[in-house]
Amino acid sequence: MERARRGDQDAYGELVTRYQALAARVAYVITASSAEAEDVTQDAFVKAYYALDRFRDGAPFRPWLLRIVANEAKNRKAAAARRPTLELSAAADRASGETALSPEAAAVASDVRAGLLTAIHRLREEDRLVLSYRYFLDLSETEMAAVLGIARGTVKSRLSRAMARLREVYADA
Amino acid sequence: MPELRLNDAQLAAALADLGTGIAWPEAPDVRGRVLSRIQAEPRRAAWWRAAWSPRYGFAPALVALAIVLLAVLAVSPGARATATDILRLRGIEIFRGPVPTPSPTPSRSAGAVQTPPSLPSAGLGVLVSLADAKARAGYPVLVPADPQLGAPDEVYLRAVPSSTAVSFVYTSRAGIPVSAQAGVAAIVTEFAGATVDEGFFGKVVDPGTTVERLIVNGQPAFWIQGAPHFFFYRYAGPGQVQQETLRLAGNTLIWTQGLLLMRLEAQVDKATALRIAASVR
Repeated sequence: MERARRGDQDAYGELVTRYQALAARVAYVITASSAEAEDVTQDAFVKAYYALDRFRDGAPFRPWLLRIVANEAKNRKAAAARRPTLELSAAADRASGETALSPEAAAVASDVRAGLLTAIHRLREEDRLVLSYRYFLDLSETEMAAVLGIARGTVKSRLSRAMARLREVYADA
Repeated sequence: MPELRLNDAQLAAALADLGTGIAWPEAPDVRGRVLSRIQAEPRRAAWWRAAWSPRYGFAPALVALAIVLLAVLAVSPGARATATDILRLRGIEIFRGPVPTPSPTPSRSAGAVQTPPSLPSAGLGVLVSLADAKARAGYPVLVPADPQLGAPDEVYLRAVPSSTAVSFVYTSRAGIPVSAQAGVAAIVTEFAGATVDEGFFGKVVDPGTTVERLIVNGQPAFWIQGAPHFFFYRYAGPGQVQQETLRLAGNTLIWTQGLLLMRLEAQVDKATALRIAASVR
């Protein structure tokens, strides 16, 4: 990180390699297009490079980068024509016991899984993003605050509100 | 749909479990493309990049500029002639109108600028020898031969998307005040203008600034006198908009010479600027 800030482009290349997959997923959650997500990822890393000296010493790189990615993705999305909403699809159904799951998760029947996915797709974007960041991308609270553009203290309440709406939508389905 | 008989912890676990099974698109590998883009243009120094934020991009800045210009048009019929006076020069558009950011009272004195002093080389690119510049520019490099300037003290090369910009820096010269903004007396910048025809190169001029249309070497030119200037310029392709602030708070002469677009920034009078421009070879 420090070498990258001093202008070492190889060091920056390592950062790109390390974080591009996560960046692309964040962009995908927002843009709902893998092609757009790839463009956003590329542009965001270029912008981040030129903004490196505004990066605060000792601050974590991930939230800072993801904020740039999220902003770039939102700008793209706003600029682009209407698109279908994000279709996250579950990978091929796993047979029970095939993957090591927590006891709670193992109890989740595949029809519940499918129902949850359907319900998530019906949520308002704001709620869908919060849940996606937390549960599908496993972002920290700091990172969620960065990509959502909100204060860290509001992340928990946004998350619990999204959970409540998910229950409602699921029940209505 | 089965009823959701899960407590919060179970629902969270179910979502996390769902998350492990999402069929994500294949992760792109953008490393090579990112590196080739950042190698094309070195990082600019902080003083002018501060005006650039990746959060906002440039479309909003251009929209804001358009709104400012429209507002001027709407509220002040007298200003209409000024605001609509968009001058054109081989891919350049010079917009006359208020700058979109607060600025000091326009003043001819270089001491009035608010921008902190910076390195003269800020944003100009890589320091090279004149011979290197001539070898790498990709076009015949022209140099002012005026005795008041003499040979440049520093030469910089900077990649622009469609060409290479060469800048000559003159640190101090008898009879030319050193700019308080950039710490140098004069900067001459040139690049292959014909290759940026598709884009535009907009210039926002402070209301206290005058723009005069001239002929230099038989071709159209513009003499801009007054406060610091802002640039917006765009190259062919989506999103290729960049903002640039003139390095000197001084007067600026922009002219074309052959295929090159040239500009002289220096706190000199028009006659001196024209003499320097005429000396270029």
